[in-house]
Amino acid sequence: MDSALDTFIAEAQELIQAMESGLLSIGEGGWTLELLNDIFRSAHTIKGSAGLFGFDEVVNFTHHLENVLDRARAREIEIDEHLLPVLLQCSDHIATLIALIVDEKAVSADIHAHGEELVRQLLPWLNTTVSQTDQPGPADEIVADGVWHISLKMNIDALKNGMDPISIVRYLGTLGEVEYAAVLDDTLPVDDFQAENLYIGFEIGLRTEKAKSEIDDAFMFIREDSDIKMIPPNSSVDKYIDVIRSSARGEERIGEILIRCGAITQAELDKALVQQTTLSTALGKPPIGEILLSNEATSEKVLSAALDSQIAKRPSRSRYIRIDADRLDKLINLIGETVITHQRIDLISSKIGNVELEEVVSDIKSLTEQVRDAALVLRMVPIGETLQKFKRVVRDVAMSLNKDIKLTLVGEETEMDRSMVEKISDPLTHIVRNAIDHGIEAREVRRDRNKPAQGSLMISAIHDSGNIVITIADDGGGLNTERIKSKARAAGLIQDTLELSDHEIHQLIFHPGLTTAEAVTDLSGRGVGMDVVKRNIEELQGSVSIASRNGEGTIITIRLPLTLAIIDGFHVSADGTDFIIPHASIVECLDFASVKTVEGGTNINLRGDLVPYLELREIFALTNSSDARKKILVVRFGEQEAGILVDELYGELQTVVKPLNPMFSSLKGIGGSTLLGSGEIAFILDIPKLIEFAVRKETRLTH
Amino acid sequence: MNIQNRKTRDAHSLKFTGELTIYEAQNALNQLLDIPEIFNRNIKLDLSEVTECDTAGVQLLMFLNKKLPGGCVLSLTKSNEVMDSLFSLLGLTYLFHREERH
Repeated sequence: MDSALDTFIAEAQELIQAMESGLLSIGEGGWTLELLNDIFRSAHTIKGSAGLFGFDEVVNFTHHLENVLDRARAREIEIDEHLLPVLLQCSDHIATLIALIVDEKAVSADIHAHGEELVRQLLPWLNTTVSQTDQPGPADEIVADGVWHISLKMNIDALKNGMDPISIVRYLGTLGEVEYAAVLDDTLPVDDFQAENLYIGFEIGLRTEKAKSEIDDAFMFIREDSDIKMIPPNSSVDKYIDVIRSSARGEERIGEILIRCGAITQAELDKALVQQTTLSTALGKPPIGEILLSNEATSEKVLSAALDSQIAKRPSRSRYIRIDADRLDKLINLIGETVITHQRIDLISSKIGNVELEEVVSDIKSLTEQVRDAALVLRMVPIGETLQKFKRVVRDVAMSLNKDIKLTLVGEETEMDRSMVEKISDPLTHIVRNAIDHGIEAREVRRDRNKPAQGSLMISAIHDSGNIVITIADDGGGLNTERIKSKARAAGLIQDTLELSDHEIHQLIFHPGLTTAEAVTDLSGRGVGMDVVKRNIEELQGSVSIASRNGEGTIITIRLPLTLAIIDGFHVSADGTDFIIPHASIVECLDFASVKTVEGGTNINLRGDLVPYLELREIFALTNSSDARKKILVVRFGEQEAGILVDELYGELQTVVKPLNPMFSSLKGIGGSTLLGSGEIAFILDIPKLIEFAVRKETRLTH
Repeated sequence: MNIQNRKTRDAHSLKFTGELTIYEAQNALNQLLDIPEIFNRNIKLDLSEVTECDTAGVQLLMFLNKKLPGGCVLSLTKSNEVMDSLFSLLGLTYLFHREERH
């Protein structure tokens, strides 16, 4: 797939998302003309670029959507609760069509029929009926070689606002060749001239092979309050005449310019001007405005829409560049190696003991660390995009349950590692669905409890000491502590005599034992697959907890590291091989001699609990046996614990994770590798896998 | 921006020094309006010391041109690259009766 197409797809996906979130905001009563304009531009741009690639299905469908949006924009129709769902479905449909393009699949009859059905649903809001002749071509995007005539008249305050039309003329010059330019001073007053007002207008002839959209780019900042006319090369004389007419006294000069550049002939100009005079005499008033409108209405509309679309695209184009995530990963990987190599230099330089060398080494150290941090930041993306998605989820789920729920998002700009954002999406969806389904009560119940009929759900994200903290808070019924307690007792998770605080009891909903089907229907609160949510989050080296007050609401707090590219680990060795154990998974550290082994040596007795343990030597078939006094590290994943037998404990270190070469992907129990300062390779243990292994082995032996 | 006015036999010679931009346009205009008699005679411009010129500057020169009554001539005695390239970009050379450079 070529890169232009990639860009089109990425852009289209962004625009669809923008369209969706815009529509949802309107649904929440956030109607503004600006918002509607944004939505319209999104649709328009998708249509335009799809046309360029010949995706007729997208063009034809989006065309109808665009028409409806255009009417809404003109206040001819309202986006009400009947239209909104249809529009949302339309945006979904475009997403489907784009997805087909991604998969390089043809549009099936079903999907086509669905599109037609949607267009039928749009009909009441379209003033025209669907006709085949109404199909728009990809003609909006004009690419023509020749001289464009551009007429630019900016707002009188433009200079004060920091605009400089000349700089725009210069910019146009970079797109091709400025064939001619003229400055119109017809509105420049001789008396009461204000030096900071803008009176002059510009007429520019630009010879370029660039597409219209690229020329439009020049005007993106000034589009809103400027009068810009663009006449494509080889247009009919009328167009030029209109421009000439529309500038009050500059007629002759522009006429001259146009004749000089060959756009029109003297005869044509004379004829047109005479025509105008005749007309105006006949009608008793100059019809300039009307003629202009009649001649230009269509092209002007197309033009302004096209320009609008450019403005909408602007931020992502000029301020961001797209980078293949793989390249970024490669860069980060290399920087990781640099950091490690540096550690070796550090070691060597301290051995040599040269003060100057040590100074340089410490300088490089701080630099490489800065480079590393900067590189990691490159992978950071705002979490907002993911959170925006929940507007739709909340709306749809709430509607299907006949609940009224307002979602508030806080901290959308909070950034986290791209790969984390992707992985956190599912658990979050699960929690949000639960909150709507089981947390927030039905309208009647809320009324009885003296709560506002509209439930509220808030998702917020903040940075907190190297972690990102995401909270999902609802004002629903909260957890029923007694029910959970009795369930947990019935399931044998807690003992009858055990005194637990409410908070401790609430955490039990993450326990797999509580989330049986029966529990789901019986519990008024959550419990659906919360153990899975917890496991997913812990796989990301994160943690999750819940706080709840009966009748008042529930808050779920997720804490995640900002990135998985660096981990806080614990350096150990077994049989001469170095290993890193992720810090978050370590529960405690014991002298092996002080614990009792039971059940034929596969378990240890840890304060009455049986914990299976592993010898790394066995798993990885290490040969360098050592007779050091063994230590046992107790690690935990989810609700399960296991012990890992090691020789030496070296302490904590922060390390850059290097993914294993795909060649070793079959190697279980290793999550990645890292180089130690000494140059030795250390393996990062995949704790969830090892625990699974330990538990399986133990079950096999005991059964 | 500083404008020096030197009255010669048949004209006012105006020498602009500094930047002729939106930041200085009002200041420059005030200096010009302070010498109302300039608008009754030929004006010779020396723009060789203009360091920077934007739309506001160009507009001020156009104002000067338009304000001059018929029969009076605006001419450019001295210019520099900045101004020359600007005038040629915008097709503004018609504004001035150009004299030989000194």
